[in-house]
Amino acid sequence: MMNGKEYIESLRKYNPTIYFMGKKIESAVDEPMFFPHIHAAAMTYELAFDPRYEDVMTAESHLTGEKINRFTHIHQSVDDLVKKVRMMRLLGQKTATCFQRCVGFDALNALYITTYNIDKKHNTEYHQNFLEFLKHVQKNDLMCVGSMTDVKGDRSLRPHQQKDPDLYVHVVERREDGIVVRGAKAHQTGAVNSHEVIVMPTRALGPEDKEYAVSFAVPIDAEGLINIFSRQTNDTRRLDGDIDCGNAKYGIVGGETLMIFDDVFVPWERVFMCGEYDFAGELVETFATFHRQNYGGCKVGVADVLIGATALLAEYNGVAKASHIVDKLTEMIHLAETCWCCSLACSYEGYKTPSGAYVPNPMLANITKLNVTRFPYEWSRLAQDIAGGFVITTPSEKDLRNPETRKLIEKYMKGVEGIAVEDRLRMFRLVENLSVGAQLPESMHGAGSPQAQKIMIWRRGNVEMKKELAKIIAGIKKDEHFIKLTGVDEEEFFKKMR
Amino acid sequence: MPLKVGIKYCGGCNPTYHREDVEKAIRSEFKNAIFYYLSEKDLHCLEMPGVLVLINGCKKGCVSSVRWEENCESESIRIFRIDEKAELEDLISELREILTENSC
Ligand SMILES: Cc1cc2nc3c(=O)[nH]c(=O)nc-3n(C[C@H](O)[C@H](O)[C@H](O)COP(=O)(O)OP(=O)(O)OC[C@H]3O[C@@H](n4cnc5c(N)ncnc54)[C@H](O)[C@@H]3O)c2cc1C
Repeated sequence: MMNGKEYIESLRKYNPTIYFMGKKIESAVDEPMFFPHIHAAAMTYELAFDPRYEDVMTAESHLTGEKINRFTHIHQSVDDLVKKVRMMRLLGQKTATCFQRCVGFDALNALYITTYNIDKKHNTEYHQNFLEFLKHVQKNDLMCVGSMTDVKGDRSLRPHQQKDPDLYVHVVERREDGIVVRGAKAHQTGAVNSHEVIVMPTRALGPEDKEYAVSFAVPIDAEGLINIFSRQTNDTRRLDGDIDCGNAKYGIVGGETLMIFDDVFVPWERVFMCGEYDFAGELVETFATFHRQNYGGCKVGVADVLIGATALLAEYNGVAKASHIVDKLTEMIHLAETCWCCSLACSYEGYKTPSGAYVPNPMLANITKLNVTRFPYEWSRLAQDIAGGFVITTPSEKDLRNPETRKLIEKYMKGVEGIAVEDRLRMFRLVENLSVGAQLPESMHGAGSPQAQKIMIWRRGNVEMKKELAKIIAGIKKDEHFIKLTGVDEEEFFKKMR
Repeated sequence: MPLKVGIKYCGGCNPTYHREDVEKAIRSEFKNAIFYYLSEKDLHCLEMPGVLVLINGCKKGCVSSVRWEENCESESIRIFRIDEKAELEDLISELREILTENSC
């Protein structure tokens, strides 16, 4: 296992192609705009060495028996699933942002299950390929990008129907020693500070889309792999000191890239699916289940920080005792803990798959994520309500540091006695970071848009069964228990009462 | 000798299908078999040879085959578990094989 510092240094061994703001970035580790994202990911390494957290942060590899970072583990029990979401909440609390490493973690677990199932049906050897890759990841404690979302062009068209065939990642050449792939993936979290990229299809596919049914892993610096780092709300504030960002150490959301596969070669031993379109849907659903499980963990950890910051601002502003403030903070806690309940529930209701690995309950995992597309908006609204307008109109750190304006800011930005103005400004900025910026669309779209969850929920909602239940209660269908309770048929029972 | 089929249902809190359909299908397929229900208290006193069908309402599989296997004193009991309706066909064909073995 690596600690946080070792992880950061380990990135130097890779030379990924990254562009940002019109420049090629020579060294991701030395790029100030990437620092917060790197620190957040490093926390997933560092806490594994802390005896106070190692119980959730580490696991025993079922392949080697070695102690490993949980982010490289394949869930072997319901307890593992529960520990996973506990780890998510912990890391959300420690970083107050996206720590990025869950996507690759979920890709590992989804592929473990699906490669096993593909081999069973098609007599392929993908599971073995995958196991070798997994051992490499566990042994070297690697961080993987979970690369699913294609750029998708016209959403109403299937991959093979797109005018440009490269709008979904696909195989363009099959060679004796491997395949060549082309296309692009969007929103790739943590890509500039990962070691490996795990690619999966983004949707269920039919026979015409066979070449799009491809899954594989390549190092982040594979030839032909190009990352264009995305801008974020207020991103350059991180170059202006440590107050204006709100969370200068760990940033805001994960740091995403547009990842282009410009004819990237993948050796066969790194291929986990190639043409088995009948398993694309299963892989997407399994990955989505794992990924949606997380959101009531990580986002609630972040909400814990937001609730703390909001409560402090209420104190700094002198309104902490007002009953509506207490009520609103209570509501924030209620919303956050509801999401937590969902993550725990889908984990506790998890089960063993034929591969031996465990998966959360898919219905409840989707419920978790659907709630997270809504509740963070509400808890952010409440935070903004309590914090007041300064949450978006606070003077800059530079003006606070400028002797000409410092005195004025210190005089007029004062809240209650005994609280330093700078602390108050820091707290406004933190609330701004956590409730105004990119966190919200991340809650909305990360792990899939609400409609993606609704589709899964509807499919698994078993409405036919619910209709049966309704018919029985309404007296349209016979209630087999009622006769036992009353000793007579329900018709007779009610006839007597008429 | 007719085959004895023990049936154990999970608690049925939120089944994803009609668990009773499994029992119905087995009963109509194996008309000569003797059916009986089992409960947890029977775990240690399973001496009747035959098969045990554990019917779970979902993949959570609260009635775990491992638990029943571990606790079955009789080695001549074969245990089957079903967690979703899609597994019914396989279950029936596996049961058919046993019936052939037992020439019932
Ligand atoms: C911060 C962040 C981090 C992310 N990290 C990762 C990552 O690490 N790896 C990864 O693979 N992905 C990642 N994602 C991608 C995420 O899964 C997608 O954003 C999500 O699936 C939505 O896809 P999209 O952004 O292309 O939006 P769209 O698919 O364009 O969705 C926009 C709207 O159109 C609707 N829509 C889309 N297609 C159809 C259709 N055919 N018919 C009807 N309606 C449709 C959607 O329901 C939605 O309402 C991340 C996203 C964000 C925002």
